[in-house]
Amino acid sequence: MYHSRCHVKGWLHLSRTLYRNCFFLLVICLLPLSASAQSMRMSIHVKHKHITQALTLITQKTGITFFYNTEELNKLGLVSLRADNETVDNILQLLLKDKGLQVVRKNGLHVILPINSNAYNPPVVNISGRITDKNGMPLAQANIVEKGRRNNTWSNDSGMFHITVSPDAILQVSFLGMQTTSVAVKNRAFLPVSLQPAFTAINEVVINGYSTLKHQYSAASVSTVSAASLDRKDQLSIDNMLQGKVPGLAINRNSTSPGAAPKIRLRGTATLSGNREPIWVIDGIIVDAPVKLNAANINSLDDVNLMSSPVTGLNPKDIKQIDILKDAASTALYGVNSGNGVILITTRNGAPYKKPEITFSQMTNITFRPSYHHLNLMDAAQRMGLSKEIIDKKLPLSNGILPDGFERDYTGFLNGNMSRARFEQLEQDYRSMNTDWFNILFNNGVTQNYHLSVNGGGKKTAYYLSAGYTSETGPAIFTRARQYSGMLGASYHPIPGLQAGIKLSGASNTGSYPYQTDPYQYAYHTARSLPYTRQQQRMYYPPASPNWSVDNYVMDTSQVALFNIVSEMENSRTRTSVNTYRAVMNADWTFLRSFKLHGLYGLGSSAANNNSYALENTYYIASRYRMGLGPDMPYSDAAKGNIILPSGGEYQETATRQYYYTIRHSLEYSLKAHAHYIQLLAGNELRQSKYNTSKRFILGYYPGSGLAAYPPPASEYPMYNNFFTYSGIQPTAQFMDKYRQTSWYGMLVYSYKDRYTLNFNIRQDGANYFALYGNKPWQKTWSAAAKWRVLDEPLISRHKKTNNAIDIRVSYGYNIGLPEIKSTGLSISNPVQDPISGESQATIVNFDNPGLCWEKTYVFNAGIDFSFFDNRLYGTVEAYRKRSRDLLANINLAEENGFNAGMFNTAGIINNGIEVGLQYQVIRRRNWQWNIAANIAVNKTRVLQNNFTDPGIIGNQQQYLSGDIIKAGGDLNTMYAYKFTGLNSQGFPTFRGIYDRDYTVQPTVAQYYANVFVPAGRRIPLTDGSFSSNLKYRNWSLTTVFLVKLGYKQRLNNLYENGAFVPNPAENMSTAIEKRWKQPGDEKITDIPGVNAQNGLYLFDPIAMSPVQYYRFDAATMQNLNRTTPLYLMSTLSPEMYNNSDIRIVNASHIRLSTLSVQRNFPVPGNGRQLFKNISCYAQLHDVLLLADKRLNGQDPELPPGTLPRRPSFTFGTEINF
Amino acid sequence: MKISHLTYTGILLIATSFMSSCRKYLDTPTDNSRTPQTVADYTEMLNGEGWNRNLSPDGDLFLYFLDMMTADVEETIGPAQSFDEKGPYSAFYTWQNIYDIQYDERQSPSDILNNTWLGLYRIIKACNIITDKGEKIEGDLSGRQFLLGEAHFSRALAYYYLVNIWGRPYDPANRADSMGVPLSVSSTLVNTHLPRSTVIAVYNQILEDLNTALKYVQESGKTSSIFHYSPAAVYLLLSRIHLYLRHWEQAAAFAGQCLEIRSALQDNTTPRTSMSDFYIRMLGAANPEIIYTFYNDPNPTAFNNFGGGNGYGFSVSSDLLRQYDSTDQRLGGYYYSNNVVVIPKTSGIYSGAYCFSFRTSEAYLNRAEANAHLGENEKALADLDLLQSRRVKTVTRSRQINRGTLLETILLERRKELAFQLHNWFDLRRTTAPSITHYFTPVINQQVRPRERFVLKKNDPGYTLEIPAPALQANPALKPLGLKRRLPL
Repeated sequence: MYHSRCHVKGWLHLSRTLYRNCFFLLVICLLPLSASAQSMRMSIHVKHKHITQALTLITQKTGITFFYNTEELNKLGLVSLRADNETVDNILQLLLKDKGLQVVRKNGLHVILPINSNAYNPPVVNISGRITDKNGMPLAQANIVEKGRRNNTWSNDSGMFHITVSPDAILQVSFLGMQTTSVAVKNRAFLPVSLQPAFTAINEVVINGYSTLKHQYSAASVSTVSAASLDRKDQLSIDNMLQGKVPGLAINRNSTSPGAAPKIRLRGTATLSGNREPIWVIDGIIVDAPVKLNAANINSLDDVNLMSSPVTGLNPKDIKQIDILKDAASTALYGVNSGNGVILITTRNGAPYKKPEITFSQMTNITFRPSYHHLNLMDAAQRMGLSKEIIDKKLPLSNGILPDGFERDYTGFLNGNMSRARFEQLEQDYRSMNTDWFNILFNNGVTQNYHLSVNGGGKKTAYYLSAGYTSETGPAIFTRARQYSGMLGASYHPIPGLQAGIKLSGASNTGSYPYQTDPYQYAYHTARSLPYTRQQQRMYYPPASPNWSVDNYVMDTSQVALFNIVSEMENSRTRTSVNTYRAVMNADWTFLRSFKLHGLYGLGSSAANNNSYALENTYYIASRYRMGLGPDMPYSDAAKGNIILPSGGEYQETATRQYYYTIRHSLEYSLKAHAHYIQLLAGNELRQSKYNTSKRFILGYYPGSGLAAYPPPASEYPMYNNFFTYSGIQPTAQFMDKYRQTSWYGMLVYSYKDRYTLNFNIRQDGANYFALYGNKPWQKTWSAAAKWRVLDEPLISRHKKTNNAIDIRVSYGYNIGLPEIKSTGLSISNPVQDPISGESQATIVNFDNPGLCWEKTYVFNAGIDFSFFDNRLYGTVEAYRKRSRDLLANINLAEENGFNAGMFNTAGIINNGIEVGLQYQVIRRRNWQWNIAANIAVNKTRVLQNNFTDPGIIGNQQQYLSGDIIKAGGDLNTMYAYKFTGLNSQGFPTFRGIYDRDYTVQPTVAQYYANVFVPAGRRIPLTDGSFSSNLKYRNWSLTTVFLVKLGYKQRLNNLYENGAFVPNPAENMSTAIEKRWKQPGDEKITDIPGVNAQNGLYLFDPIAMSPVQYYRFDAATMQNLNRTTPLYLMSTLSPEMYNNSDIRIVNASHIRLSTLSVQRNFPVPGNGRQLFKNISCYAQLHDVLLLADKRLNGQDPELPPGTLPRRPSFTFGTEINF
Repeated sequence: MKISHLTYTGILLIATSFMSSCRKYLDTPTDNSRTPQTVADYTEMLNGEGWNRNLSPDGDLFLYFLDMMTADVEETIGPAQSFDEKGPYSAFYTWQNIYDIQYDERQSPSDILNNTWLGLYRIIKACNIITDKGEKIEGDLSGRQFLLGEAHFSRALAYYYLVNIWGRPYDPANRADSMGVPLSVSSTLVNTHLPRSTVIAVYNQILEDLNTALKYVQESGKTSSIFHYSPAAVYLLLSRIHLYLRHWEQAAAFAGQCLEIRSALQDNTTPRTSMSDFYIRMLGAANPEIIYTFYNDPNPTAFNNFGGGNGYGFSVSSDLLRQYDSTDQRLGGYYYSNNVVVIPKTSGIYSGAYCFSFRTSEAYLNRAEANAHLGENEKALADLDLLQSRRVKTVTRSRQINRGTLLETILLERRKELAFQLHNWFDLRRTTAPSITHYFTPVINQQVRPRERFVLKKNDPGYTLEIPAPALQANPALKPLGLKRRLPL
C-alpha cells in the first residue's frame, strides 16, 4: 500500500501538524531537476549497501531526486553494483532488477513504485518556494497548505519551503497579518509567493485569551488589528492608536495632554454604576489600571485621566496583535469582567529557528503649537475698542483693581492724569504689542521615540528582547512625559509536546504638567492688550477676583497678590509617575495526542504617584488660602481670622501601589475525526487585585524643607486647623482595596465538515465584592454561537469560483456584570473616640441590602463575513442587540428607610447597533496596488425604566449640564442645556422655567429641572468610523486615513468668563460679541447679549473655596427681571447660563484627516552578508484637515470646550532591520 | 519525565480547585470596612448612629428649630443688621408650614427639616438593625441585653420626636387619628411605601419599646454613664410619654420610680465662684441631676438657629426672661447676654455633657403636673416647692390651691426649668396650643422691608409640621396635612 504508515525522518517538521497519519515520502534532494537528467552518465560503486544509500549516491552525483516509500524499500535486502560511465536509466534498472520495483517518470519526477502496484497512484510533485512579504523580506513560519488535503508545511527562516503535492494542487499560504493567498502549482517546481498585508488581518487562529481556536471554528465576533495597521505612529499609547480601527470600538479623546487616556466604549454602554470601559487583557492576563478610580470618574466624559489607563507602560512597539472581542460568544469566557467587551493584546514573541534579528526604529513628531488663526478672538485693537466703550458707558469694569494696562491708562487719561498725546502714544503701543499668548505659553511639541528589539530563536528556545524610550514635550510649556520600557520574552520547548514560556516587562512613565493653570484656557481668555512684559520684566497684575462674601472683612487692595501666568506655572507643577512590572508565565503540555494542559500565571505590580505642589508666591495659593492677599503681609486681625495659610505652599500626593495575580489552569481536548471536529476546554481561574493607596496633604509646604508641614501659629490663624476639620481633608490617609475572583469555565466547539460550526461557552464566577452576607456568590454566564459557511455547501461550491466565501454567524449569550461596589452587607467605619464621652463611635458605611443581584446583559449578534473577487473585496457586516437589565442605579428611596438614596437593581439599557467593515483591493498588479477600506459603526443606546418612580434617578444641575443624568427613554449620554428664550428689551438673555412660580402644585425637583433643561443631544457619536486608502507603487506607499464621527453634539467654548457680561480688563472676548445687542430692538435680530452691567455676586464657601450653589443677582437686576429666586437650587448667573444654553451647542459631527503617510522601503536582497536587511522610512502628517461645523471656530469638536484642540503634526521615522 | 510533569500539573490543578472552591478566599472584604459582629461592635455602631452621635455641622439631625416656633424666641432688633444673620431658621420662626419655600430670600430651610426627618429614621434604622439581630449578636449575655435595651430605648426616643413634630397632638377623643408617622421596626430595606400610622399606634410602639428596654436593662444588671440609658432614664421617659397621653396615674407613678433611683436636685442658690463654674454646674456632667444626656453637637456655641455673625438674628425672648425672678439662678446658668441678644448656653466639650439632658427636675415636674390633674395638689406643690428652692435664692412662695392656676404655675415652671431643652413646643401643643405672635423683618430683593407680624393661632393646624417635601415625594403614601403658606397679618 502506498499510503502505508511510515516513519519519516523529517519528524520535526511534521510534528508541528496535528496529523498523525503521515503519508509523506522522504525527500532526498531538494533541487529542481533538469529535463536531460536521466540520460546523464555516471559511475557508481556500491557493495552490500542498502538500496536507499545507492539512490542517495545517485542523487549526490546527478542531482536527480527520487520519491519512494521508505518502508517498502527498507524491506529489501542489500545490493551490490559496479557500473562505470553508465546512464542513470541503466543504473536504476540494474539496481531495481528483480526487486519488483520500477521507476516511473512523470512531470519530471522520478518515483519508485512496485511494478505490480495497481493501486491508485496519485502523481506527486516535489516543489519548493519562498514566501516573502511585499518588500521581499522572507516570512518565516508561514503556513503552506495543499488545498483539500491534510498536507502542509511551514516556511523556514529564509522563507523557503518544500512540499510534495499533486501537480494540479492549489497551495494556500497564510501568515499572521497577511492576506491568505492561493497559488496554483501548475507543474512549476519553484513558487515564489509574495503575501500582501491584510487590511484587517484574517487570521488562522482566533485568540480569545483562554484558548486558541482555528478561525474556521470560531463563530464569535472578534475583530483583529495587526500591529502593522496602526498608522498613528505619533501616538505613544495603544488606546489612542486604535481610533477608527475597529468598527464598534469608539475611542473618544477628551484631552490632548501627553499620557491622557481616551474614553473607550465598545458597542455602547451596558452599565450605569460600574466602569463602562472595556477590559484590557495583555497576554491572557486581565490588567487593571494602576490607580483605582471610581466608576463615576472613569465614566465622566470630562474627567481627564492622566495615569490610570491599564495600558500605561505598554509600549505599542511590543505589540504583535490586538483582538477586540465584541459579542457574548467571544467574551463569555471572561464572565463578570466582560460586560463592556474585551480588548486582547498579544505581545511579540521570539521566533524559533531564526537568527537574531535586530530591529531599530526611531520616530520624531512635531506638533504645531496653537495660534490665533481660526479662533474668533479679538486682537488688541478690537479689545481696546470694547474697553473704551465700557469705560465711556461707565459700566463697572472690574471687581478689584485695574491691571497695569490700557484700561487703567484710559481711565487715568479721562480723569485728567495724562495728556492726550501721551495717551495716544500709549494706545498705539498697546495696539502694536498685540500680545501673542499662544506664543508665550506654547512651543511646537516634540515627541521622540526609540525602540530596539532582538528577536530570534533556536531549536528549543525562542526569545524576544526590547527596550524603548519615548519622550514627549509640549506643546504647552512645562508639559512633558517620558517612558522607558523593556520587555523580555522567552519560550522553551524541551521535548515534543511541552512548551513553557515567560514574559517579563516593565516600564517607567513620568509626566509633568501645569498645576491649577490651564495654558490653553489662559491664552484663549486673556486679552491681547494685556502686556506680558514691561521693560523686559514680567508684568504682574491682580487678576479680577471674585467678590467674596467673607465675614466682617473688606479686602485690603494694597495687599493683593499679583499674578503672572509663566511665574505661576514655574512655581506649581503636577508630576506623575507610574512604574509597572509584569510577569506572565505559561506552561503547555500536549499529551495523548489530543489533550493539552495549560497553565498560566500572571503577576504584576505597579507604583503610581501623583503629586502636585504650589508655592507660596503663586496666585493659586493666595486665592485658595489667603483670600487673594500676598504672602507674609502685615495682615489685619480681621484678615487673620479668615486666612488659612499666611505663608508656605501646598503639596498633595497620592501614591498607589497595586499588586495583582492570576492563576489559571485548563485542560483541553481536541479531535478531528472524519468530518467531525471537537474541541473541549475546561479550566479554572483565580484572580486578585489589590490597591494600597496613601494620600498626603501638606499645607505650609516649603520646597527646601522636605515633605513636612509648617503651620502658622494656631492662636493667630485659627482657620488653619478649622480648614482640616471642616473640609474633611486629612494630612495623611491610607486606603486598601482588595478584589478577588474565582471562576470556572468551559468551552465546547463542534464542527461538521467545517461547514457547520457550533460554539458554547460557560463560566461561573464568584467575587469577594459580592459574595458576602447572603448574596448568591456564584453566578453563571453562557453563550452559544453558530456559523455556516454558505459557499462550502456542495451544491454551491460546485459552481463557486475560487476563494469566494460567505459565512453567516449568529450568537446569543448572557453576561453578568458586576460594578465593583462596596460590600453589600452591613459594614461600619473604623471607630473614632468621642471627645465628650470618651467612647468609641462607628458609623454605618453600608447598609445591608440582601436584595441586590448581579447585572445581566443579553447579547444577540448576527454577522456575515464575505470575500469575493478572489479576495479583492471582503468584509464583515454585523448587527447586535444588547439588552441589559437589573442594572444597579442609585435611586431615591422612601426616607423612612433611614437614608434617601440607595443602589437597587432597577434600570435597564438597550444598545442596538450595526457595524460594517469593508476592504477592497482596487488595483492588484505587480507594481501597483491600491486598497481602500471603510469601518463604520452605528450604536444607539436607550435607558429603560424598570420600576423607579419619579423623580427617578437622582441628579443635580451639574449632572444635567455635563450629560451625566440618567433618564428613562433617552440616550445615556444625553447632554442638557438651559432653554434660551431670547433677549429681553434690556439685552439680557432669558431662559425657560427658572423663575416660573405660577404652579398650582409645587413641582418636584425632577419636574422643575425637566422644564428648565432641554435635551441637547448625545455626547458620544452615534456613528463612528474611518475611511482609509493605501496606494503602493513598488517600494513606495501612500496611506490616507480619515476618522469620522457623526451624530453628536458639543458645547461651544464659553463666550463669557467670570460670570459677567462685562469682561474684566484682562479678559479677551470673542469677535462674535460684535454682533451683540446694542440698543432696544436689537433683541429681534441677535441672540448675543449686550455688554451690560449684570455682575452676579459669587458667594464663596471660605473653607471649600467653591462658589456656593446659590447665586443671586444684584438688586437692580432683580428689578429688571422682576422675578424672584428660583424654586430649587440653580445657578442663576445668567452669563454662565448663556454659556450653557441650547444655542451654544453645535453639531460635533466631523471628518478628520488623521493620517497622510508616505513610506519608502529599501529592501536589501538577502544573501545574509549585508549589515542591513531592510530599511524603511516614513513621513506622516496628522490631523491636518478637519471638516466640521463652522461655528466651532477652531474649537475641536471631539474635545470638551476649552481644551487644547488636536493640533496638526508632522512625523518622520525610520525602521532598520539588521 | 512524563510522570513528573503529570504530578506537577496534577498538584497545581488540585491546588487551584481547592482554592477556587474555598469560600474563604472570597470572604475577605474588599476594603477596610468592618462587619459588626460582637456586642462591642454594635455598641460602637449605636454610639455613632444613635443619640450619642457626632452631628456633622453641615446637614444632619437638627432639633433646634423646635424652640424657634415658641414664644421663647424673638427677633433681635438692631440698627446694624445684616440680612444674612438671621439664617435659615426664620422659616420656622414665621411658621411657614411649607418649609421648602422661604418667605424671604434666605437660604432654603428645607434641608433642616428633611435632614431631621431622615436623621430620626436613620437612628431608628440603626436600632432596628440591632433589635433584628437580637440574640445573634456575639458577646456576653449581660452586655447584649444592655445593648438591646438601649436600642429599644433609642428607638422610642426617636419616635417620640417624630410623632411630636409631624404627628398630630394626641387627642383622647380622637384615638383613631391617622395622622401619625410611618412606623417601621424592621431593618429590612424596602423600596415600598409605608403610610402614616395612627398617633396612638406610634405611642404604643414607644411604650412597648420602653417596657422592653426596662426589662433588658434590669435583667442585664449593668449600669453605665450618663451617655447611656439607665432604669431611671426609662422611667423618666415613660412618665413623660404617659403625661403626653394624659395617663396621669402612670405618669406620676413612673416619675416616682425614677425619683426613687435618682432624686438629687442640685442646689444652685449657693454663691457661685465663676461664670464657667456655674455653666458646668448647671449643664455639665458634674450636675447630679443629669440622668441621661444626648444629642452631640460638636459645635454648640455656634447655635446657628440664633443666626450667624456677631449680631445674632434672634434672641431669647424678653417674655421668657421676664418670667424668671431676679434671683433665679437659672438666668445666669442658662443664658449668655451681650446686651443686644440673649442666647442659651448649651453644654459642650468643656462641660463633659451633650447638648440635651434628662434631668431629675423633669421627673419632679412630671409628677407635679400629673398630681395636679389627679387633684393631689399638696403633692404637686411639694415637688414644685422643692424645685424652686433649689433654683431661686429668695423664693416668693405663692401657695395657690386653685387647680387651674396650679397647673399654670407648674407649666410655667416647666417652661423656665426645661427651656431650650426641646420641651416647650411639645408642651404647648399637648396642652393649650395657645396663640403666639412673632415679629419679623423680611429681606426681599436684598432690601430690608418693614417689620411684619406673624401669628400662630390658638389650636392652629400649624402646631403640626408638614412632612418635608422630599420625604413626601419619595413616599407618595404619606398624606400631607395640606397647610397653606403663612403670610404676615
